[in-house]
Order: sequence, then structure tokens, then C-alpha cells
Amino acid sequence: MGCHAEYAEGFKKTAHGRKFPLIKNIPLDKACETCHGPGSAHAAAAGDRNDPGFATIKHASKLPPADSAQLCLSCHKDNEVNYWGVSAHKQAGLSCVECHSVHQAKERKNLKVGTTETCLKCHKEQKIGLNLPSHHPIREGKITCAGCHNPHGGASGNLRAATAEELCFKCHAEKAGPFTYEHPPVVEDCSICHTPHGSLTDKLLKQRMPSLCLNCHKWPHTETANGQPAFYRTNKFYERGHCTNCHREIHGSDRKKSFIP
Amino acid sequence: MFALALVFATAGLPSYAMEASGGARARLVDIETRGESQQMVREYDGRQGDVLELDGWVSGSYGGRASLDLGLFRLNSADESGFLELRGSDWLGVDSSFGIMTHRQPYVYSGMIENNLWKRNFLITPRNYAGEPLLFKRYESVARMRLNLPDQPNYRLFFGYWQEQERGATSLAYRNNSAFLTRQNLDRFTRDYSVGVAADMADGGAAYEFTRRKTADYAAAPIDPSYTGSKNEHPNWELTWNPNLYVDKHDLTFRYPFAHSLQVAGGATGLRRSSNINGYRAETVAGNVGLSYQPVRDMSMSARLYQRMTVNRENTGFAAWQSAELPLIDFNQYKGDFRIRYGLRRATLSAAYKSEYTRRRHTDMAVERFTRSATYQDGVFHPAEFATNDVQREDIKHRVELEADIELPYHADLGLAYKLLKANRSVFENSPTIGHTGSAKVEVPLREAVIHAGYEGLYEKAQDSAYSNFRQRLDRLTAGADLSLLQGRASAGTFYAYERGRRYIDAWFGSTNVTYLGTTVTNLIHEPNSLYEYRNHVLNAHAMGQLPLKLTADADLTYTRSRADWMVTQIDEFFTGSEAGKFLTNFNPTRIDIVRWGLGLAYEIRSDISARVSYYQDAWFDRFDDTLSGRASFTQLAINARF
Repeated sequence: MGCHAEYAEGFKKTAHGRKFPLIKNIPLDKACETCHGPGSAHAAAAGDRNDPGFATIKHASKLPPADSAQLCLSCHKDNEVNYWGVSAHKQAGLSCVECHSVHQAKERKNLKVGTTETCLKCHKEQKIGLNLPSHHPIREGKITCAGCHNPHGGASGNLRAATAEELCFKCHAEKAGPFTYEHPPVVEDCSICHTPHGSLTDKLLKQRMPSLCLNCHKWPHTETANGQPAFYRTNKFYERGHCTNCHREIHGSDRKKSFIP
Repeated sequence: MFALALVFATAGLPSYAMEASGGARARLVDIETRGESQQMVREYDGRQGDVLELDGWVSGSYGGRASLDLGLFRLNSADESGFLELRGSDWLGVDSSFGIMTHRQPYVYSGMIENNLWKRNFLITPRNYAGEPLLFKRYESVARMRLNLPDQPNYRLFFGYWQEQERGATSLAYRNNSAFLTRQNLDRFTRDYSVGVAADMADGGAAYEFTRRKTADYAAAPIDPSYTGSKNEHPNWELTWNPNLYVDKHDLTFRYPFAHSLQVAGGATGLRRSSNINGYRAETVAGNVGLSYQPVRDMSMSARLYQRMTVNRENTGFAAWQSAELPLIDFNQYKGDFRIRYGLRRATLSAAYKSEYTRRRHTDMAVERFTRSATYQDGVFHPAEFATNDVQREDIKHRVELEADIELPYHADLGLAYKLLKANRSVFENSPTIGHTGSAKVEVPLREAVIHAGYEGLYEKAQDSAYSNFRQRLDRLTAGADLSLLQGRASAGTFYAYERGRRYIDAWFGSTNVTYLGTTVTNLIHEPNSLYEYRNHVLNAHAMGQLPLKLTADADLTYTRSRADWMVTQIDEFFTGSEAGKFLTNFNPTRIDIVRWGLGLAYEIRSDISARVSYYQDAWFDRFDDTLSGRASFTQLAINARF
């Protein structure tokens, strides 16, 4: 700490600095070796980079990704990181220090920058959805990418639920059913009709109505009861251009098969 | 940072020091609005007028025995949030948070372009936006507590509580004997209780958690009182429809590193959802296991298997009373994901193969069939039973993904990817059976800037769709630059994205499914190969700079332009007299422009006190329906203090 006083002072204020004595019963001045490895040879080198002992200290960002992550995983074993070993980020060669910083974190969870900003550094294409007319309130700071995705890996891809539908149904529980009259794509996969990152269509739909619905359904409102084309079809198109105005219980209904309550 | 030393005079007790740091912020916000509607431009802003908002946060530790992190944000704004984190030595941890989100609910209009003129759905009565803002609030709270067993740091219990309440109003349009817009009350409450246990074994571990959830809906579901149809006498039927949904869930996860290079992780979930209205239950079991292996430094492999099964247990009594078709669709799904990644000197190559097999039962409930022969207005004739849109009993999907990341001269990076999808059949009419996705992106670091650009193209088609002939194409282009100037004292950036989607379907207007017999139906509308097209442009520019006199200025601008059209050619209106011969040419299009811009200036009064003044404006322009347009301007003055 004598050589790295600036880091030491800053470390005291960090989550690690406050919690090491608490959780690990390690005095603060001994805490460095928990992550950086034995430091006596490095200290004895006294800053001489030609001394073979100088480089014996571990530096997380200079280690291979798997070794770097192991430094953190030696303590962080909660369920949040259960799937890290088989996660896409690990397979892509990332380690914890890509997003987190022990010494210079500016945000919660020791992130270098905010959660959404962290993700958008690499996943730039998602910037589009956040700015479209219909979007989850990520840009407004109400939720973050980590609300739905676990960057450390998950049971199903990197989602925070074993199934995509369970993920959506946590916040949108009233859509889950089970309903007497089900709408099969709702049970199969929400993304058949919705796009979660952003859409120009209301309710995060992939497509405006009625063309979305006509992907799979007929539009029967232009004929009379005996199957003949209805005259004065004008009313039919204008009244019924937005299907869920009448087919309100589109995620499933206990009342009517047509989803019109 | 300040420190308090609390010295206990009583002999034998140690002295503990409490240290804390934190900050506070007061922010005065002046809001001015224009335009008929604030529902779109301030979709997630709950403030009803000018407001003084307060933030506060503190982090502290108590002599190595306890630590606390507390933050409260936007107090007095109607959209407050906060968090609390407590750690007690090595055996207690508490995490909790709460948040309030306001969601303004716009009325969604539809309209058409008829002979090049926009016409709004005239049977929907406009609402008085100024007098009746529709909004609902979402209150979310979560608390989790972890307890480590005494002297057993590798074993812990955890408890959790989560709740979400939504109260307010949303828009509702319905038609029974009339057609109009009104408001629907929202009053929903969902609660989760969870309890679990976890154990760590060397670098491995396992955890089990049980969760019980209840969702209750207390709001009245409006039914037009003039409705003259029959109302059933079942005890569950009432004009106020109050369903309760219940979930019981069991989660098991595990991980184990066999060696530094070989790791396994997986889990299983069992879940039951039930409804007190119909007495139905949906039971889901899902399991997964993944293995990753890194035989040498430059190569890694992974394999993941996943299975999910959902079975519905129907209540035959309720189904019979409702004349509901039984049973509901059950399904069983298996997925496999195999990847290999290899690093060369200047490139990293990866390949993945994914397969997905899903089997469903009880898919026989045909929703729609073309039961009778028909001749359409455009001359198309199809025989009886020529197509259905039944859900398919089983399907298999194969995906292959190839990627290459190549290091170019001058540290530039090039990323190339190709993905192929093949499925043996379309589960739904718009499920593709063939799909190609190609992408390329490049990133070039310069001395004080990074420039990036990328393109992604997708084409997919439902080859066996006799009904809608669905296919789609998506093109997406992104480009941007980030600059760091004046040795980091200034920065600027820009980002542009363009997205164009084209979806083609055959659209059928007419059922041919009615009970009238003996006559071939004629003259219904068929739109062959109709094009639904959407285009989005997103442009962002931002800059920040440190000025003399301890001033920092920043600016931000985002412009979004969104267009969607469904071009139709066959929809004539059957008008009479002077309206005869008119055609709809665009069915429910949309034109939206959104502009957000802002300027800010911060001043460092002291090292621990700063002030900031900012002005930003959000504007929403609906080019068809001006009643949805609106603008809001926010002037803010904030004082920020740290201790």
C-alpha cells in the first residue's frame, strides 16, 4: 500500500474494500494478496521491472480470461454466476474485468459504467430498439438489460428464466393463463408476435394490425352471414382495422373462443 | 469521507469505528408541455407538473462488523426508487429495492389511406387528452436475505419476497352494440415468496429454491351494459371478473469444475400455474445441462442440452359449461447447442450447430379452415379444404452459425458471420422453414477515435405455407464514431442506424367457413403477395467538454424516424354515388418522428459540491394523427453534494 497509495485509498471506499474485513476476516492491508497473489517478491523488487520478482504479482486484465475470471469466482459463488462456465460470454473469451472494476468502479455491482451502457458497448444493434416508439423503459432508466438477461449465463441462453415465456410472465403475469381458450402462439413463444427490444408498433408488436394477425388468420368481416360479400364494406375496414379493439383478450380468454369478452 | 470513533467505556468491549460516505442531490424541474397528447412523448414520465426531486445515497461500514449501502432517488417525483444493501459480518446479507414506474397509456388509433388521403377510423370517438390522462403506476419491491450457517460459510439459506402492483387506467376500445373508446381500470397485484438453500463445494455448488406466486386482478372488466346476449349463471361469472393465478415453482441449479479446462453447469425447473376461474393447471418441467471444455489455450468447446415439457390439466366441468374445446395443446421440446471456437494468430473462428425438436399433442383443434370452395375478386379460385392454419404436431429446426473475427492491420477488427436455419415444417403460418442471415462489422481504432460500421441482412421464408406464403427480409445498417479529444478533456460521438423490414403475405379477407350451403362463395377480397414494410432511422450525436472555470458542458441529440405501410391493391370500398370506385391503398400505416435533444452545464463549486443546469426537450410527431403529437420541455437545476 505504500507504493500504490492512491489505489489503496480508493479501495477502502469500494464495496470490496468495505466487505473484505467483514466477510473474509482479512485486514484491509492484507486484502490485496487475495486477488493479486503473494506480493512479497513483487514488493522486494521495489519497482525494478528487471527484477524477476516484479512480475510475480497477478494483474487480472493481463491474465488469460479463464484465469482472470477464476480470481473472482473463488469468492463469488452465488446463483448469479452458476452458468458462467458454459456461458456465451465466457466462450467468447470475456472475463469479469471487461465489465467490472474492483478499484475504479463508478456504478453499482462494481461496473465500470452503467449496466445498459456496458451492454451497448458491444451489442450496438440494440441501440436501435431502445429509441423506437414502443420500447421497454430501458432508456428511461426504469429497467436495465440485466432485468431480462443474465450476462453471466442462464438456463436458456442468457435469459433469467428457464423458459422465455416464464421470463415475460414474471412482470406480465396476467397474460400467462392457463386460459380456457388459449391462443397457441402465446403458449409457444412470445416472440412470434412481439419483439422485446423495441418496435415502431404499439405494444412491442413486430407488425401493425391487421397485417400481423393476417399472417396466420383470415379476416372474416367483409362477408355477410350467408358467405356473400358484404356491401358497404367501408365500415368494416375502418371499424375493424385494429383487431384487439374487439379481440381484447388476445393472450387467452376464459369467456369466449373469439377472445371478445 | 468522515469517521466517527465510538469508544465504549465499559471494560472488555472493543472500540469500533464507523465510516461513511455518500451524497445528496436536489433537482428542481420545470416542465412545459405543448400538443394535444403527452401520452406518447412522455410515455414513462409520471410527473404531473413542476417538481423538486431529491436523491440521497450513503455507503458505510461499522468497524468490520457491518456494512450498509442505501440509495433513494427521485423522491417527490411520483417515480421514486431506492435500494438497501446490508451485510452483517460473514453470515447475513440483505438486498432490497423498490421502484415506481408510470406508464402513460395512449389510445391506439387505426386509419387507412384511401386514394392517397389519410382517413382515421371514424367510429372511434376521440378522447379529451387534456382532461383525462390515462396512466397506470407500477410499484415494484424486492427483498432478499441470505443467512450463512454458523461456522459453515459454504452453506446458506436465502429468502426472497417480490411484489408488483399495477394501478391506474388504460385505454379500451370495444364494440358490442356500439363502438367507442373508454378507459379500463387496472388493479393487479403479484407477489412472490421464495425460500432456498445453497451449498458450495470447492469451486462447485448447488442451490435449490422454491417460489410461490399469486397474481390477483381486482379491476372490473367492463362489459357493455346494453349487451343483450346471454349471460351465464355459473358462480364464477360476474361482471367484475377477478381471476387469481397461482404459480408454484421449484428451481435446482448446479455447477462443477472437473478441471480448470472442463466445467459443467445445469439445472432443472418444475412449475405449476393454476387459475381459480377455470380450475385449469399448466405444469412445466424444464431441465438443462451444459459442458465446456478447453483442451488447449486457443480452443474451447461447449455443449448444452435443454428440455422443456408443458402439460395442461383441464377442468372438464368448466370446459363443458363454456362449451370449450378440449384438450389444450401440450408440448415437449428438446434443444441441443454445440459450439467450437478456435483462435489463430490473427483471427478467431467459431462454429455452432443447434437443433430443436418439438412435439405437440392435441393440435387437432383447427382454428380456421377454408372449408368451401371460393372464387375471389381477383379471379383466384381455390377448392374446398385447400388450406388450414392448424398448429403443427411436430417440427425440427436446424441452425448452423459460422463466425470469424479477424484482426486487420492497424488494430482494426473485422467480424463476419453467417447463420442458416432449416426447419422441416412451419409450426405456424409465419414460422420460417428456411432462413439466411449474414452480417459484417468493422471497427477501426484511430489515435483519438474509434469508428465502427456494420451490416446485417436476413431472409427467411415459410416454404410450406399454403395459406399465407409468408416470407420476410430485413436489412440493418449501423455506423458510428467515438472521439476522445484534448487528452480526454472533451469527447464526442455519433451513431446512425437504419433498419428496413419487408414482410410478404397473401392476405385473405373472407371466411368461406359459414354454414350456408350450396353456393360457391364469390367476390371476396384476396391480397396476393402484399407487402408490409417498415423503416426505422435512428441518429444520435453527443458531446462533452471541460471548459475553463471548472465548467463542464454536454449536449445530446437523438432523432428517430419510423414508417410502416401495408400496401394493398384489392380493397375496394363498395361506395355508392360519388364515392364509387375508391380503393384503400395503405391499410393502417404509421408515420412517427421523435426528436430528443438537451444541453447541460455543470460547475464545480468545491471538490465536494457541484451544480448543474440543463434543458432538454422531447417531441413526438405523428404525421397522420396530430392528436397523438406532443412536446415536453424540461429545465433542471441540480445541486450535488458528496461527503
